[in-house]
Amino acid sequence: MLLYLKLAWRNIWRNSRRTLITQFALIVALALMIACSGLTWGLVKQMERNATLLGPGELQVHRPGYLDDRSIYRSIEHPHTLVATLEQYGVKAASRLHGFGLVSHGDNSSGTQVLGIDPLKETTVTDFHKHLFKGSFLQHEKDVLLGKKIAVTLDATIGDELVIVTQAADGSIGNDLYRVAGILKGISEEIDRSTVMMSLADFRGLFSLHNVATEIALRRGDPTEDLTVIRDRIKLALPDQEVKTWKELFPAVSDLLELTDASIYILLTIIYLAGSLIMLNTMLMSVFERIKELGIMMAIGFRPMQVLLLIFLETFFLTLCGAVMGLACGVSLSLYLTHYGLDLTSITEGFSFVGIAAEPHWFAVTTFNTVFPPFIFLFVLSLLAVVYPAIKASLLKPVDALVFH
Amino acid sequence: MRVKNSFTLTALLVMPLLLTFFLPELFAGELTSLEILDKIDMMWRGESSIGTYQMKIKTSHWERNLRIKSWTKGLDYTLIRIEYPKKEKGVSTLKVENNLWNYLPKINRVVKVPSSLMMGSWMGSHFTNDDLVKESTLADDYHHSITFRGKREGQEVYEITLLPKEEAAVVWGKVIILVRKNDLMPLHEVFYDENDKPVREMKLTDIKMMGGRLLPTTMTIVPYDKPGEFTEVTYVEISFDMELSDTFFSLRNLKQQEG
Repeated sequence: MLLYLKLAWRNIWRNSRRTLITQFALIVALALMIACSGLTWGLVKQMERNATLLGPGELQVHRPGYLDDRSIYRSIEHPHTLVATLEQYGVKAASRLHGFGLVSHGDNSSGTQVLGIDPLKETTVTDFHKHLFKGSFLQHEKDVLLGKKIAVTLDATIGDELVIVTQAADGSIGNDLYRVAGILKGISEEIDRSTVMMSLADFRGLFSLHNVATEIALRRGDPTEDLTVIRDRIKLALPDQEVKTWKELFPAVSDLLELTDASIYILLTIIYLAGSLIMLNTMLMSVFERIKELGIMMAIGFRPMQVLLLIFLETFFLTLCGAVMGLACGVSLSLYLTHYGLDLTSITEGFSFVGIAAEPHWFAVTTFNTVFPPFIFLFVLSLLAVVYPAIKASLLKPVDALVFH
Repeated sequence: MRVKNSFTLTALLVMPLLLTFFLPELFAGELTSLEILDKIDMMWRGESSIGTYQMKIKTSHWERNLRIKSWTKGLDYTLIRIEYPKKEKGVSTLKVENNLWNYLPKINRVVKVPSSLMMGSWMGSHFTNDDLVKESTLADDYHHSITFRGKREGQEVYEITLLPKEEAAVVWGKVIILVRKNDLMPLHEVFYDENDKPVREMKLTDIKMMGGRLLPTTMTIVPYDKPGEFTEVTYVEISFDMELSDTFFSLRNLKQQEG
């Protein structure tokens, strides 16, 4: 056996140029595959984050019936005590209020969804404060944040005065002046096009409301904990309220993300196949090139099984070397992309995919799932790739092999 | 011969004129839907009008009473100002052609109502902004015909059905108006959406003399999709054909409290 190993090892380096080319192909293919899967999973993770942390939060609490008829009258009384209770259950919680109104700046006006948030608590639950295109988060009284597209519709920028007119809860006409504190980056069609965010206090003033909230948004304290487990625990604690995960609240978004997952598997398979094709080609060539040489070996007494074993051993060494180096290169590339990201700001200001915004700064993720599947895939495929040439070579008659062209 | 010829010519010229002159008289008993609609339209608007109304709005969550003053001129100009309650005193709406602005005295700002909100509620009532903006008469935008003549609810009535003209930008799919036959007073109107589903009903009651005219002095809008809710407008006083200049209906005057 040792003889075969020795022979295989020597064979690899006998034609060192071919071997180096094969190695190089392997390393490049594997590194790219690892980086690509890191980036695609990064995109999925980012979209999932945007679908939760830039919008609904991970879980929401409502008064039963609110989701069917989003009326300001179906609100939760004394939300702060509820928030305090929820915080004891290992989640971060923030009260919110939703309403409709007419917002206007100069001669421009637009219908709007007004979102009232608790500026302090909201930052623990969602990432709106980290997602500002311009300006700052809510700091002062009568500060508002605008969605990206509604800011364009209104032709409003930081510091501009806005008028918001609504139908207050008591039927009167709520109206007041506000100042644009910040403009959000693209998040989702709905938020970009129509949302104006203000503090809960300002919202209650505008809508003549007392201490109520229409919704409490939650975020896991421990991000590894399963959402449905937390939901069930909170349900037990708040039997009078409706508790739902974002997947239940937005089944369409969740389905779309799952569909994206599936399409990413297809995409990755294509990338893997492309990478493997480079491998397959070099392996095929390296066997066919040596048919004559293998014929000589058989002429001096090698049996077909021994030729087969030899070729497999060679491939194994070759692939192992290449794959280990490729792994090293791929992981470093992927880690670089995880930390520094891919800056696309020169190409796009951010785009929306399946209704969820993607940022122009694209970060990869590096996990077991992004690194090992390409590694295993490539390894197995290279071994499979030589099956055909190896069998073909082992079945050659030495005489034919010697005259093989 | 020459004389006879010229007589024929004159007769040919004059006869149609005579006919148009006398024809309505000949068929006085059978009015067309157009004549009825025109008459109703003039009854409401006149050349100009100044009126004061009580508006009672009832929804499932609140009930409010407003006192409103309005000025209208022709079809293009309307100014409406809330006089009561205190919180909304001075809130005004100006309509010029098909533009709508609201003035909010609390913040001293004028806000233009975008076309996307035309079907939205006017000041929380069951009237839409579009109800105020309609700059043409129903007869201009809809094909109309009398679809029923006879007794209904104990009185002789006409039922006029209006279907939108193809090119008209209107919000209703169908409107049915019931008119009292003897004095052509409208009794009620039902508005349908484009799927031929009735959306709301307007009842016109308390027909009496006001401002020198006979007219229904109470209008009640009942939305079919919100049971128990309604908006009722009652005329307190109204006068017609006053002198009002076009400049009265300006953004500047909208902002002035003493309109």
